[in-house]
Amino acid sequence: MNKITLTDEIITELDETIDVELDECREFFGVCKIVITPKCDTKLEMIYNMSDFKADIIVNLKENINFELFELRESNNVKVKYEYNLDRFSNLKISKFYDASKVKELDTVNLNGEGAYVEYILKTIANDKQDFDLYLNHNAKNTISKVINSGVNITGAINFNVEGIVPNGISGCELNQNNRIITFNDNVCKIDPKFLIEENDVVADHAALIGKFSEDELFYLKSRGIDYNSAINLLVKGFLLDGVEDKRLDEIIEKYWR
Amino acid sequence: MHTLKIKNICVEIDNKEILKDFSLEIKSGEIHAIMGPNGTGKSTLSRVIMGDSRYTLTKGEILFDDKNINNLTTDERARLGLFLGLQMPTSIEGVTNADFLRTALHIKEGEKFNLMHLIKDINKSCEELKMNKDMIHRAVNSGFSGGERKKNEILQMKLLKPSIIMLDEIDSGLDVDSLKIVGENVMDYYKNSDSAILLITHYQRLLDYIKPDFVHIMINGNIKVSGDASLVDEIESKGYEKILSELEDKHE
Repeated sequence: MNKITLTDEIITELDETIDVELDECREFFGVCKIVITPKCDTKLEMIYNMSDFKADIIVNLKENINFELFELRESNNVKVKYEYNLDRFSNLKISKFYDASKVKELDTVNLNGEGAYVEYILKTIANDKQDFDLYLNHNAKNTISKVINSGVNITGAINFNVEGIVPNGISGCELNQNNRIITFNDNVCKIDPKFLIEENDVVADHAALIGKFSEDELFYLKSRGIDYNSAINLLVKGFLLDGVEDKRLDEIIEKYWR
Repeated sequence: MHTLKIKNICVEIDNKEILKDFSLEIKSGEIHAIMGPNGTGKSTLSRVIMGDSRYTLTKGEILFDDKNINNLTTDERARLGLFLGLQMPTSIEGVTNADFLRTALHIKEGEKFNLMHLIKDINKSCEELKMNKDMIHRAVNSGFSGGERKKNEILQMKLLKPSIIMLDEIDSGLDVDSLKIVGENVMDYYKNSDSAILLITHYQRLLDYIKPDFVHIMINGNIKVSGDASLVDEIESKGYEKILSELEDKHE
């Protein structure tokens, strides 16, 4: 698999299936710009291991290309702006796992070509304030977006703002978003699911939940001799794994979650 | 030899008294069945014994092997050897049965925990319960049928090896064949361990497989009548109201 590791320096391990352009202006403006263009069906893993980091990342998907982006982030105070541009019948699968403190992220997905498809899965553990803004622009007919955002708020706060946008005349689109936050403190967490749809011929649905684990779940686990902390660990791991079909993400959560 | 003594307990939830001066004693080698109409506090009793914090014990004490366990948490009681098979086992999304059982056994056995032994035990128990082994890798009770959930409860019982087993309407949702399998597995465990059983049920059919030594009729938060297994036939033929009215007539 292709790999980009962002530590004190940017390390790339890439094959001929993908083009990656790195902007040199980071030293001057403090923003790292990366342009990713898969040349054929391929996968890329991005590992963030740095603090106080800002990045602009652009992913350009040409016609009929399938691309899987996997991202693991263990870093502090990170601001990232993603832009994904999808041509006709391209297929983008994004899986992200964050265990970070402060995060501010803006993702814009432009479904520019007919039949373009995006699946966006984010699993995050918050130890500080985390803000996620995700915009899904359905700019072409028969485009599909599926979003699963799952956050576990330990000592911070999480905000998910997810907007699906379909202008008039862009028919046959499907939009699905499922945002959930489990919180362990009284800080305000927020989910703002929005559909701005001008077209009639669209299927759209969403689910949103902010809460704690249920007393019934905890009682059941404890009634089998599992102490409170271990029960919470099991439930958090289960919450993060729920809905994950990607093997890499599954492996990371299994291995990572203590 | 283990004993569970429930001494004069009163229990409330949301300021409503459910159990009223309730007492019962159970010893290893005994099977007790509690029967009674809906809403008399049978399930509450099992949850209170297990330490469900949503219920408030306002009076009395619960003793396990003569040690007061009123202040023990649910998990501490479970590790002492108490087990509750629930009427409606909770489903837990994302947590696999395998992870759940491994965690429970690891905590119970500590350094003695052996993963290979657990896998062997799971395979053996699944065969005995005629359970599909794939269920081990599925989320706990998620998407399980009523029968699969009940078998999963008995699987957990067999692996955790408790000494006081409470089964709350374990027969509900089971077809005839599954009821036989569940009944036989419970009895097999009981005969080969130093355990006691407290059954909560509405129907005689479970008691064909798990034969009680003592049968209690619970009404309005307390035991009104106790007897041997023949009381079950009396309940089936007469119903609770008639038995109670006959009892009142005798007292008068």
